[in-house]
Formats: sequence, structure tokens, C-alpha cells
Amino acid sequence: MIAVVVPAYNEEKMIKVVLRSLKPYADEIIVVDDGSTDATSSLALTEGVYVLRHLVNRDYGAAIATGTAFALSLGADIIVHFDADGQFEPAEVKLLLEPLLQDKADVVLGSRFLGKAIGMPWHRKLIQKGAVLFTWFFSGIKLTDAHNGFRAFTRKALQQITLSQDHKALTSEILHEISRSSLRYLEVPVTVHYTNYSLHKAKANSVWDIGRIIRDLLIGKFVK
Amino acid sequence: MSTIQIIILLFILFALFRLYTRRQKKEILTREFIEWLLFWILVAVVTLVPDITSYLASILGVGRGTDLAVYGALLIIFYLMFKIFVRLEKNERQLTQVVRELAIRNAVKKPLDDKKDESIKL
Repeated sequence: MIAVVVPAYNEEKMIKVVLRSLKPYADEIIVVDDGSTDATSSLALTEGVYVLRHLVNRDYGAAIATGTAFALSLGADIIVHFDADGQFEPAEVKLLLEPLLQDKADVVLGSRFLGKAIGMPWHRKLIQKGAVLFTWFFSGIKLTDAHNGFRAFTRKALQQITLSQDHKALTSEILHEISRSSLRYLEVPVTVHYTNYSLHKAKANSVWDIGRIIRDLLIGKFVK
Repeated sequence: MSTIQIIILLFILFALFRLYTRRQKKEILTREFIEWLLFWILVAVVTLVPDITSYLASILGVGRGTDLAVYGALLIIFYLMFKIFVRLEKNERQLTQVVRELAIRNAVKKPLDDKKDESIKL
């Protein structure tokens, strides 16, 4: 069974479109409404998908981990992470599944730099390149795209991975865990659309995030 | 005795009194009580015999006793801040666990054709 986890925070504008276009590629879709104050969850419910509600906003990493834990409890064999803001192309889920189904990898990561980054501002590119170097240095994993929310795992891989970071640092944590558990990983080209909507939604995703991510990773080392 | 010494000593007396009442109400652990008691005794000693810090400073190679006191205070503050950060992160994660558990328990999926709720309990 293929489960797609969609973390969503105040995505009422995009959620229905995203869920509808995802349906052909998933057996189960799990929307994690991360304490939205808009109609995100009620709209998601009309699409016949699982909806899990965080009572208060716990941020991206926490939502991903909730959806993933639920997917595992449903018995999913493959779990895909997919953003709710319409940046990714649902049809490309197939590209991520292929290496897993052929047992060529345990984790497949989407790369916008192998694929296409449509409308990506130059400063975002710069930050992303920095993230690539950071990951290479700290996790020993050399990627072309280190902070992409489009990824797929086998059930077995996820059972070896701990997802404890609540914020964006989760993405770094996943890579670190891949390295720690010596999982087989593969990057596949994906398309990321930078629309006005997505750029506006993620406007906090900036230079300040870098400091936050590093701080979270550092503090995380001391939390028992 | 200078005015500043009297002010500091009065403050220490107040702090010790508060420490004692908090211990009586069992708001703090014995270990914490002893840690704070030792800390305030140390402050009292330094206040009453400031030359001690000069002596320590000369051993450690720091210019003046007051400098040593400032360095020491900074170190303690940074350490406490770090501990608070870690504690906060731990609380955050515990909150996430509670929120997650509730979210998973109350997972809902409505079938597309009929309107009946299909809540699942795990």
C-alpha cells in the first residue's frame, strides 16, 4: 500500500486541487492539518482522505512525523511526503516510487536541481547550495538538493529512522538518519514550481531559517 | 562595611528566606535546595571578604577580583541559558507528542459516496 503524507497549514486555497491530482498515485492520502485556522481540514475531508488534526500548530517536521506514524500504523509499505502548497507535481510520485519498487533504494529523494526549479529566486538557489554543502559536511551525504520536501521511503527504512525535529530541521535530520542507518538512497529529478502563492506561504523560509535549523539540530543533541 | 555590601547581604537574606519557604512547601528538590544554598553562601562570603576574589584572580591570572566575579557570573548565566533552551526543547517535544497522539486517535476519513463518518480508533 502506498500512502502519501501531506502536511498542511492554512492551505485552503490549494488543498483540494493538490489532493485531487494526487489521488491517482496513492492508495491512501493522509492530510495532517497542522492547527490551521482556515477551512483546510473540512475541505480535505470532502476529498475522502484521512485527515489528522494537530490541535495547535507544531510546524512542518511535527506534521510530517505525525502523518508518517499514522501511515505506518495503517500498514503502508511505501510512504511519500508531499507538500500541500502545489509546488510539486503529483505525477512525479511515480518517479520516486520506481527505485523503491525495484528495490534499488530504501529512500528516494526528489531533487529540483537534477530536475526543474521553475521560477526559483536566485537567493533561494544560493541558500539551497549552502544546505547541500552543510549536509555533505555533517552527514557525509552528497546530494544535489538537500532541502526538498518530496521524498519516499520503504516501510523498513522508516522503522529505522527517528523523526524528532518539529521544525524545518526535520529535513536535515532525515538525511542524518539515512547516513546513520546506512540506508540506500537515491535522488531523482523532480519539478518544483515557485508560484507567488508558494513563495508567499514560505516567506519565512529565508536566511533566518538557516540559523534556526542549525540551532535546532544543536539543541536536539542535548535533549534526552 | 560599605553600603553596597549591606544591600547585597540584605538581598542574600531575602533570597535565603525565599529558598527556605520554597523548600518547606516542597517546591524544590533537596538537591536544588543545597545547590542554591551553597551558591548564596558563596556570594555572602565574597561580599564580606572581597579580597578572596583578588586572591583567586591572581592564582587564575585574571587582573582583578571583580573581573573574576564578572567572568564567573557570565559563565553561570550562559550555562543556565543553555539549560533553559534544552529544557524548553524537551517541553516542546513533549507537547508535540501529546498533540500527535490526539491527532492519530481522532483520525477521520469520510467516504466519498455516503456522508457517514468513519472515525477509526487505534
